[in-house]
Amino acid sequence: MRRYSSIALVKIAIICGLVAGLTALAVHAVVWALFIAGLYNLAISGMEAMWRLYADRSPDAQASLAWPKSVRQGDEQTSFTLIVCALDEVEVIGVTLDKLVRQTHQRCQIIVSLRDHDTPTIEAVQAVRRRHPGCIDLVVGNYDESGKAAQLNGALPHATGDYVCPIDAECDVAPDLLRHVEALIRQTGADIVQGAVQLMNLGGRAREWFQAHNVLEYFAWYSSRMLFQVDAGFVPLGGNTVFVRSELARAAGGWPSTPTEDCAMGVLLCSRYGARVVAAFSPRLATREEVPPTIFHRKQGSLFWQRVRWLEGIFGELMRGYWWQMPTLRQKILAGYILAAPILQAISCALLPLALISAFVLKVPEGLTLFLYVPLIPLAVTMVSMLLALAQFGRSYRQKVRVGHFASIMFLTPAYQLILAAAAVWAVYRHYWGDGTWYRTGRGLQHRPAEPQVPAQAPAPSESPVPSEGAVL
Amino acid sequence: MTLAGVTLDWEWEEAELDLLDGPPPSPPPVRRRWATLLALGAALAVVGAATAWNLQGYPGRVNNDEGTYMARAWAMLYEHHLSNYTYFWDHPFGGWAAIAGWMRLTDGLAWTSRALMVGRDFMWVVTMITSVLVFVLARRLGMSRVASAAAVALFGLSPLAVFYHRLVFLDNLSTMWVVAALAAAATWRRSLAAVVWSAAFFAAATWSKETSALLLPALVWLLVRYTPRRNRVKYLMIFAVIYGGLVGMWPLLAVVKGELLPGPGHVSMLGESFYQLAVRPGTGTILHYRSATWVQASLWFHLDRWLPEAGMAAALPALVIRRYRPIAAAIGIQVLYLVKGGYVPYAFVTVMIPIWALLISGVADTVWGPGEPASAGSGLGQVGRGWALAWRWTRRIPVIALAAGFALVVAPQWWGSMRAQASSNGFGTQDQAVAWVKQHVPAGDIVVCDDYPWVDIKIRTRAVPVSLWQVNSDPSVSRMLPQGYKNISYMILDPSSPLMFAALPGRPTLNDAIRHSTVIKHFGTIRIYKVRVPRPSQLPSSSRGRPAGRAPASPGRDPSDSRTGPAGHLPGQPAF
Repeated sequence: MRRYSSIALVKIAIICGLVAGLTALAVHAVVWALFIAGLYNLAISGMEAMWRLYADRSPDAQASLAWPKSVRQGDEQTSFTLIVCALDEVEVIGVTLDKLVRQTHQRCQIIVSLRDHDTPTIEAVQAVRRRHPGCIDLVVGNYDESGKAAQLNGALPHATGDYVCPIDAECDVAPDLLRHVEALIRQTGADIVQGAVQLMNLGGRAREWFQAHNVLEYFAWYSSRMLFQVDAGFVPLGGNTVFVRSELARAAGGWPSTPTEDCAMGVLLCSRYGARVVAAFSPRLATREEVPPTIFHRKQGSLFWQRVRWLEGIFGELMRGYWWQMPTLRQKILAGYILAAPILQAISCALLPLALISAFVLKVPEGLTLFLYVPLIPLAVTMVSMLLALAQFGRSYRQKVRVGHFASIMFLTPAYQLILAAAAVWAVYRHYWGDGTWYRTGRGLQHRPAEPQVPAQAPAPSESPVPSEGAVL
Repeated sequence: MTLAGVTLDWEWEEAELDLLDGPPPSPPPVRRRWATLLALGAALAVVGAATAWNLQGYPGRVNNDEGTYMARAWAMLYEHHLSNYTYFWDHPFGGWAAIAGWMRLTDGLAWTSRALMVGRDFMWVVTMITSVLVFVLARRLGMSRVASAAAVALFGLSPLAVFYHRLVFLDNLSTMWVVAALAAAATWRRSLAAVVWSAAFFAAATWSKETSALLLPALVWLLVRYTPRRNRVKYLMIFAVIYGGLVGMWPLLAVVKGELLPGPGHVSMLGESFYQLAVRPGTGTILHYRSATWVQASLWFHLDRWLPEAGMAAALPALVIRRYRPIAAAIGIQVLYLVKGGYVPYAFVTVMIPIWALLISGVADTVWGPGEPASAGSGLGQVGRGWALAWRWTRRIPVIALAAGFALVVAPQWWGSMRAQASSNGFGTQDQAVAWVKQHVPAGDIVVCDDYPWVDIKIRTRAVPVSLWQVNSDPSVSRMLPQGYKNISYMILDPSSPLMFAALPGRPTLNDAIRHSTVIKHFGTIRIYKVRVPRPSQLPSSSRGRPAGRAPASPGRDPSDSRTGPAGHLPGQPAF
C-alpha cells in the first residue's frame, strides 16, 4: 500500500518536472534548459565530492570510523555464525576455509552453504572438514531460485550465533576481526555491523586499466561513504563482512530473494525494522577481495555484468520504495538519493559534456557560461581525492602503486564512468524487460598472488552423499 | 608514496601542531557570549558612526574609479553588460557585480539623489561586515575580547581608514573577503569545511580585485598551521583546486568569448595582462623620494601617521609570536611589493588597514598576558604568588603606557580629523552641475564628463554622457562621435583636478573640443564648456566626416586607472 504511494509520488514529481521543463522551454528554451542541467550537474558532482571526503571532513569524523580495541581472547560473550555461500568455487573454497578457521574468536560457528548439484565444491569442503575436524558445518540444499539469498536462508535455521555474517567464497577475512566486531557491538549496541571490504588487485597490464578504478571505488566506499550512510541511518549493506543480529534476520524472513540480497537486506532492516547500523574501517581488518579480471568477458569474470547485476538490485530497491518508510523527511531524501545515485550519475555523465559544449557553441549569457563550468570544480576535488586515495591505498595495504595507475585514474576516469553509466542504463532495462536471471562473477584469483594454493584433496567415494534440502552434514 | 614525503617537510612546527591536534576547545558558556556580544557591539557602534558621519560629503571627488565602478554596476543591472563601455579585462567584474546586487536589492538609485551614494552606502555595510570579521579573526587568533574589540576600533576609526573605507573601491570588497578567508582558515575545528570556505572566500576576494591574490602565501601559511597533520596535503590540494577553479573562471570566460589572445578588432585578457605587468609604467619604489609610490604612501601618513607607523612597528614583534606570523607575513608581502615598485594602485593600502589593526592589538594582547594566571599558581607559596603578580603587572606597563599615549595624543587627533571632515561637502558643485545639465541640455546632446557624474547624467537628465577617459579609446565611443569633437555639445570638466588633466594627453578629440569651446558656467572648480560647432558651410571639406581621432594603440583600454602622475593621487580637498 505504502509502496504504491511512493511510486505515485515519484510519478507526480516526474510530471511536475516535465511541466516545469516545458514552461521553461516556452520562455527561454536553451538558457533555462542549460541552467537546470548545470544545477543538476553541480548537485551530483558536489554530492560525489562530499561523500568521498565525508570521513576526512574533521579529525573527529576520522576517529569515529576506527575499530575499537578488540575484546580479550577468552572474554568473548557474543557468538557469531559465518555463512560461506559457494557455487562452483572448487578452486578457492579450500583456501578461504583454511583461513577462516584461524579466527581467534572462541565462539564462532562456520557454516558452508552449498547446492546439491555442486559435487566438486562439496568434495572440496569435505576435504577441508577432514583437515579441521569439528570446525565447519556443511549445509547442502536443493533450491529452486538461483542466487545467494536462497543458500543464506538455507543456512539461517542452523545458525546458532547471536550474529550472522555472510562470507563470499573467495574472501580473506582478518583472523581477529570478530573480536573487534564484538568490541564494537559492546560499545554501540548495534544491530548491524558493517566492516570494510577491499579489492586488492590494481592490475598490471594495460587491459587491466579499470582495476585501479574499481579498487578506489571500494576504498572510498568503505573508508568514507559508508560513514555518510551510517549517519543518514540508511545503509544498503555490502555483500560480506556484515554482521546482522540473528533474531532480526529471522524476523525479517531471511535475505530477500533479489539479485543483490545484501543491499535489499540493509534497506529492509534500516527502513522497516529501524535497525541501528554502525560501520568501522581499518585497512588491516578489511576483508580482501578481487576485481573482476575483465570488463566484458562473462566467463572469466566481468566488471560490467557484475555491475549490471548490482545496479539492477539497487534500482529494484529504489522502485520497491521501502526507503520512503524512513522516519524523517531528511532520511527519506538521503535514502532515496543513495539508491538513485548510480542512475543520477549516469544521467550526469551525459549531461555534463553536453552542457560544457553548449556553453562554447551556443551564445548564452556570461554568467550562465561560468555556472556551467562550476561542476568541474567538485569533479576536480574528487580527482584529487582519488589520486591521494590511491597513494594511501598503496601505503595502507602495502601494494605497489605505479605511475601507470595514477595515469589511469587521471586520464581514464571518464571511460570508467562511461562503463558504469552504461551498466546503469542496462540495469534499468533489465529491471523492466530482463529475464530475471543473474550473472555470477567469475574469479581470477588475482587478489591472492602470493598464497600457495592448497590442493583440494580428492574425497573418498563413500563420502559424497546426495543430501536433502538444507541437510547438515 | 612520494606524497607522504611532503608532510615531512613541515615537522618544524610539530610541537605546536600536536597541540592543535588535541580535542577542540569547548564552546564558551553563555555568560561569556554576552561579554563577546557586548565588546563587539560597542566596537561596531563606534565604527559604524564614524564611517557614516558625513559619508555623503567626504571624501569628495578624489578618484575617478569610484564613478567607473558605479557606472559599470549600473550597466550590469540595466544594460546587461559587464561594463558601460567595452569590458576590456582590466579587473574581474565580481566587485561591481556585488555593487550591482546591492543596487538591485535596495533599489538605491530610486531614493538617493546622487548615484554614488548607493555605492557609499554599500561600502558602509561592507565596512561593518569587515569589522565583524576582524573581530572573529582576532578571537580565532587567540586574542582577548577587549583586544579584539580594540582591533575593530583601530580598523574603523583611523582617519586613514575612514577615508578609504568610504570610497567605492573594489579593494574594500576584496579586503572583506580576504579577512573572511583568514578567519575561516583560522578555525580550531580544523575541518575540511573551513578549508573549503577559506578557498571560496579568497576566490571571492580575487574576483573582487585581482591584487588580493598577493596575500595567498600568508593565507596558505595560516592554513598549514590550522590543518590537521594527517590530512594536510589533502586539504591544501583541495584548497588549491577550489581556489584555482573559481579564479580560473575568469580566463575561462575570456576563452569562451574568444578574447583570451590578442587579435585584431577585439580586446583581450592576455593583452591587458601584458600591458598591466610589462608595459604599464610602474609607480616606482617607495624607497625613492618623490616617486609616485612614495607620494601615495605619504598621503597615507598624511591622513593618519599613527596606524601605519604603529602597525609597521608591531609587525616585527609579531613575527616572533608564532600565532601572528602568517598575519605579519601578509604585511611583509605588501611592503615588499611597495619596495619592488611595480604599479601600485591608489587603494593599495586598504587591505593593510585591518592587518595593522590586528597586529597592534595582537602584540599588545600578548604582552599583556592572560587575564588569570594559568592554574592560579597553585603550587606556589605566598611569596611565589606575590612575585607572579608583580611580574604580571610589570609586563603590562608598556601596554598601559601605550594605551595612555593613545588616549592623550592619538585619540584627540583622530577626533579632530573627524570633526574637520564632517563639514566637508565634496559633491555640492557636482550636484549643481548635474542639475544644470538636467535643466539646460536638450535631449540626445552628448555631454563629456568624468565618471563621477556619469550615472546621474545618464539616468537623471536627457543628455547622453560620454566618459572623458573613453574618448579616443573605446571604438564604441568613436562610433558615437563620427565627426570628432563636433558631435560633442557640452563638457563638464574640472581642470584643477587630476581627474581631468591626466586624461588630456593622447586624446586629440578632447583637446579639439576644449579648443573649440567656451566656458559658460562655473560651479566651484567644475566648469561647463559649450562646444562651438562651425556651421556646415564654414567647414573645410576635408575635415567633414573625418573619422574621430586616431585609432587607439590598444583598442578599448580604459586608462582611467592609469593616471600615474604623482599629483593624481592627492585628494581633491585638503585632507584637513
